[in-house]
Amino acid sequence: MANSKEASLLPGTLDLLILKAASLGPLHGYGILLRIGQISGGALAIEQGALYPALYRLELQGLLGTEWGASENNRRAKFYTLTAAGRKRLREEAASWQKLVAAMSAALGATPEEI
Amino acid sequence: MRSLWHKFTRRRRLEREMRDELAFHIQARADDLARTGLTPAEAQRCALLEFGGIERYKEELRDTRRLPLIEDLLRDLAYACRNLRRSPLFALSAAGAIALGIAVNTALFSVAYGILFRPLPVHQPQTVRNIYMTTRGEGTRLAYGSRYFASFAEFHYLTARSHTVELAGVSEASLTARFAPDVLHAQLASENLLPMLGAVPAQGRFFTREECATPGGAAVAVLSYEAWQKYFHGDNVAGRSVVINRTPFTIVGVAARGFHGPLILKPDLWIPLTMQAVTRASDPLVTNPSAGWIQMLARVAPGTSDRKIQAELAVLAEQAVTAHTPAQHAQLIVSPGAFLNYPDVLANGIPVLAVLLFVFSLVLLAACANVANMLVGRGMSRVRELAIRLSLGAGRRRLIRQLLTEHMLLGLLGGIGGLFAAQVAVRSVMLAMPPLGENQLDFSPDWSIVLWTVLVALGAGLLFGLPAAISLTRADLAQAMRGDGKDIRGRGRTRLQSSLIAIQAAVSALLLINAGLLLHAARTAVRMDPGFALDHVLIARPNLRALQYEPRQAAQFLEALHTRVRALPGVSSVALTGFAPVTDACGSMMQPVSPEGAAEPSIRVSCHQIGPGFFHTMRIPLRQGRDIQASDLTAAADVPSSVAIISSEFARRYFGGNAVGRRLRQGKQEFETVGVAGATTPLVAVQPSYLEVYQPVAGTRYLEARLLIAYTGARAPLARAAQAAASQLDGEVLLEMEPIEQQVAKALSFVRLAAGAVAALGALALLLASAGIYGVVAFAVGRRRREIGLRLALGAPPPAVLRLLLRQSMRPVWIGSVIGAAAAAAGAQLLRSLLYGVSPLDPLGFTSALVVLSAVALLAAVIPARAALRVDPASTLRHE
Repeated sequence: MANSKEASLLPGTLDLLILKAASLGPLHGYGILLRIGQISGGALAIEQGALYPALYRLELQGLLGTEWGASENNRRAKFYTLTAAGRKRLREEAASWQKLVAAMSAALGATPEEI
Repeated sequence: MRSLWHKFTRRRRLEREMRDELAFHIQARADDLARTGLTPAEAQRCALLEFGGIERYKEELRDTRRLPLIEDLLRDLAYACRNLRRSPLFALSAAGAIALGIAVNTALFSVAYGILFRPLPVHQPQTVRNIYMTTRGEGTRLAYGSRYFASFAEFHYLTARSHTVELAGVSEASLTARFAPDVLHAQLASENLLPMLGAVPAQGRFFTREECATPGGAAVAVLSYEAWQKYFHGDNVAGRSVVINRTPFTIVGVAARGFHGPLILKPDLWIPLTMQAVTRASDPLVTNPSAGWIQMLARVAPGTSDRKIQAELAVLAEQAVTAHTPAQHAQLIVSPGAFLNYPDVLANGIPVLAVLLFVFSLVLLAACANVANMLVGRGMSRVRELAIRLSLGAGRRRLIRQLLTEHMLLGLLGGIGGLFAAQVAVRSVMLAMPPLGENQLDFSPDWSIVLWTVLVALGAGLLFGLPAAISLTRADLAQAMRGDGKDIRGRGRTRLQSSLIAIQAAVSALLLINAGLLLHAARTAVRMDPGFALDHVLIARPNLRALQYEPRQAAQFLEALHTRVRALPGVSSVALTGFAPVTDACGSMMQPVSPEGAAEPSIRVSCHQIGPGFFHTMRIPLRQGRDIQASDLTAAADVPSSVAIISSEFARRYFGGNAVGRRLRQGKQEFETVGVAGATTPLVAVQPSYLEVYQPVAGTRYLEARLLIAYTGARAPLARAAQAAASQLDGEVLLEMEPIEQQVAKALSFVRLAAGAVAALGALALLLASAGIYGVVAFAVGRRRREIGLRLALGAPPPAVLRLLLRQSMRPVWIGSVIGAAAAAAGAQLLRSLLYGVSPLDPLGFTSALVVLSAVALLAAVIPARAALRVDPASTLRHE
């Protein structure tokens, strides 16, 4: 799946992406995978198997709630929704991520004249 | 158990959900791939490939869920079993050492539990309660048996009004019946006692309500199954008339086999509580509202809480008490049904029990130190395995858990062995105790004893297992990988081993020193001259109370018997005494009166009631003044006539030596001291020794009085002749005979038992310590074979090398001994009352114990060390 056009994930970013994907509505695991591909414009690659340990971890931390329901093809699937704690965590993580990005861009965009 | 089951079912559910979720993912992906034009089979294969190693992820998911804990435990257990099976000799000796320690602990617990806490041997004992009541405040309350017993009036008041529980009452007495040649043991029962406890008649019926309604109402009796077989050979006895305590009774029934009532001693028969007067004709308790003598039991209906019962009965008890003594208040306690859980017995007994459990647990401590040492020693041969596993990435915690599982398993095996060994220990201790009579004490294991043993075993497992496990998984084990093992200095472990040896030596020293002190005390007690006769006195006690004698009649009977016995061949003198000599006296307070007539502060005295010739018969010298005379005796009143004889010790301390003609005050009474007798030392070690006062026998004491018969020659014919003499005076009188030697043995049994028990504990600890020392020295010299070989090859004389080895191995033993001796010196103060004047710091006790300990330890070290020296130096060096 991975090719040169896709950026590899920084450690810690997978959790943030999952929370973001789940914030847009209840999804099953495969749906989260597709949603991340969709919202990142296919630029971020996730190893499919690695998704589930992350989901379980977030569920255990109480950031995601789970419920069994029917999928679009009427198959039994486990749906993940963002809990209140998850929503709070998403806000905090997103804010600190923005800060990091801004700082990194500023640092990388610096020219000799500015120093 | 239930939570374990929950864990298992939860694990199964989580596992299923995980499988379903991942299957859904693969299927959804395959569906999408199929839409791009792949065949369903290709799409499925492709989806699986994209997912990555599915089993690896499942494992990771299980880890996230913390599923492994219980699986790990099961795996560890299987591994531990395999490991222990691989070295059965090791497992057996380690578990054996723990079993010894646990056996000692469980044995003590079993005995204490059997007496204090075990449910009663009756039908459905869980719903039986002991109801204890007592009073506080001004006014006299007489207590017979325990101060937590109720009077008949109080018992009657409570049973008539309680709605929450069914109450029953019980008491005990000795009886004489014409049908039995020996003294019978009876239980006095309320009408519902037998049915309430689940007894059924084997013949006839039990008591009716009418028969038990009023004092003296109906003279009826129920026989125990054994008494029925013994005295009536199983004949039809219901309705038969018998004479008990000179009173005509009717036997109404027989209790079925196996029922022996709610008390420790098995009764021969039951009579109604209302017939109490036949057991104490001259001063019956049943009519005295402030004399407590009835032990109350209750049967609780399901759903009724003890709190509710207590609330109701406390109110009723208060009303019952104030009805006869307004100034007093009642206190009522609801306890589980058990033999002796009287509040005062528990309050006094539990601290003693705790100290005893601590002392008995010292052996277990020594056993734990021993096994920890064995584990560390054995572990060193496993270092390579452990090191490989550590280097392959096994977590240290995980390894510790695994080792600990193995060690706890050893502890549990020891616990199982200990449970069986405890039974042997209990039996042997019971054999050493003075006989108690037919009783239903039960010390065999039940769930509480098993649970206690398992808890102790697990605790012991943790105690020896954890230090060993931690020590064995130290990071420096990686050095073990370097090859032949010569680099394993294991300094930390050597230190651990030395401390463990020191612990064992300390425990051994502590126990051996105490054993030495107690043995010395027991020898001293046996050899000491207590100031009175220790042999050739026969104590004969007629059953006058049971035969309804009045004090005046008893006095006449005893005087007649005295004359007849005095005339028997071989009898040198005869005297009357109110209390059993050696073991019994009554405690009292008395005030010496100064010549000016002022009373000095009260002092505690032991008072004896005696007749003329007592001092001569007991071989106590009369130092000053005169003996008690026949004219001093009085059967008319309970108050002794106004003369007293005191011991020379009493005279020396309070009257400056010459005490004849001085006065003593007891309450409103005054006594004149007419004589001074030689000092005596009490043999009963556990009672504090008070100053002795001898007074003439008086009043109801005549009903308990005994004749002391000093004799020469054979005892058996004399006993027969004395009984014949008594029978001539009254055909129903039975003499209970006991040689004074037996009384002396009874009095000394406690110190003998204590000395024996502590000596046995000390021997066990010493055995364990010497086995431990042997093992450690053998292991140490094994590890230093090359060094020893080198020293020998370089010309060191073997004795010098031996000395070096021994010095190093004995150091922890000496350190431990010093610690143990210090602890013994501090603790021996507690033993003072048992020591019969032997100093708690008795040098003989201390040195002999330490010499024995050092000698055994040295022997345990010399054997393996000498074996190492016999090795050919060349061969060990070639091995390099």
